[in-house]
Amino acid sequence: MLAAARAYVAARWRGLAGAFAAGVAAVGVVGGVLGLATVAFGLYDTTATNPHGRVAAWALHHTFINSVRRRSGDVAGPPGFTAAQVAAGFDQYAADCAMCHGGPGVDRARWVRQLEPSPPFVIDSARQFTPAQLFVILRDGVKMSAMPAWGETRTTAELWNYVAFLEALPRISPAEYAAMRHARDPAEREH
Amino acid sequence: MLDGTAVIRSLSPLPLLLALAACAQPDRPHWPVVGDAASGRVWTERMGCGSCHIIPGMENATGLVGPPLIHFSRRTMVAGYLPNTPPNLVRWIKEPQAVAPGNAMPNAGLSEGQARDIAAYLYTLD
Ligand code: HEC
Ligand code: HEC
Repeated sequence: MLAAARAYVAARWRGLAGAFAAGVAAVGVVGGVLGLATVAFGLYDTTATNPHGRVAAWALHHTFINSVRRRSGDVAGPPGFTAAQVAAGFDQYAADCAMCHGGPGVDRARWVRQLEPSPPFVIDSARQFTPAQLFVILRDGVKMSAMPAWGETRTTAELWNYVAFLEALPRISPAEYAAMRHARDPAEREH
Repeated sequence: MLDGTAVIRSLSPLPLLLALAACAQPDRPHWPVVGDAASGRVWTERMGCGSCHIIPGMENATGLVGPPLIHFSRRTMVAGYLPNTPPNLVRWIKEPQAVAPGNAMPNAGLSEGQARDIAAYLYTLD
């Protein structure tokens, strides 16, 4: 009697588990078909004029931050930076980065606002990332964004120069920054 | 038999009551809408405002270079320079360097329409 009841319950459970597995498989198949249809018929809007939705923006940005954290573990940051490194870093920044990232009181190039994601101002990036993390961002770039990897075309010393400048940037006033730009290129007095 | 005018008369205080309720609500924005807040949100995202400002409800807008963009519907001053009216907020967004020369917020070459849309969006933030 008891054994029969047990067998019945076990059979019931197997039936339920089977139905559940079939349900999961069905959802998987439908999801897969929807995913493929999205790719095949261009259902996802990849135009840059239409910004990422909140979920996509959050997921991309946090994936980037956590990926950088994970990959910067074995980069040993220097204990500090010299004024010469900051100066060299500014020179490189003005040539390679300012059009996308702007500066204190200075806008980015006009076309940059149409990149998606749009490049952030990096004035306080050094508060959000350690020097080792900034080094990894510069060396390896950011996938699915306009941020290039610079490790291929810049020496390790040059990569650290950018970091030195980014570390100094939060303490550079708009007036000082304007003077630095003017000293580098007198034509750049005004934006 | 239902008298139509009596029903209407009994309902007539309703709009008045609703208006009173709206006045009593202290956090109500007291500015007329100056632009399209939805496009303003898109421009705010695209202009990188969030890398210098914390903006409630906007992903990745965590910058601490300038003040958080909050409470604009109730704010007294814009950047501490201009009384908080729609034209003044639009002016600041368009040319912060003209209002406060040498501050860190760049003139971004926004059109009047874009600046109005951004202002309308800022007035929706609390
Ligand atoms: C073509 C445009 C472009 C150029 C040129 C460029 N970047 Fe970027 N950069 C980006 C974009 C876009 C991001 C945003 C990546 C993301 O969050 O998904 C970014 C992100 C960054 C970040 C992370 C910022 C943060 O706080 O999240 C740093 C730091 C940075 N770039 C530094 C530099 C430096 C230094 C250079 C010059 C060597 C440079 N970038 C050149 C587009 C560019
Ligand atoms: C490079 C950094 C930077 C960028 C980019 C930036 N701002 Fe600002 N913003 C500032 C700073 C710094 C202040 C404070 C200026 C002052 O009070 O003199 C400020 C002030 C403001 C104020 C007044 C805040 C208050 O509390 O009264 C508003 C509004 C504002 N910004 C809106 C914007 C909008 C909209 C954008 C994008 C179109 C933007 N900002 C882009 C740095 C920036």
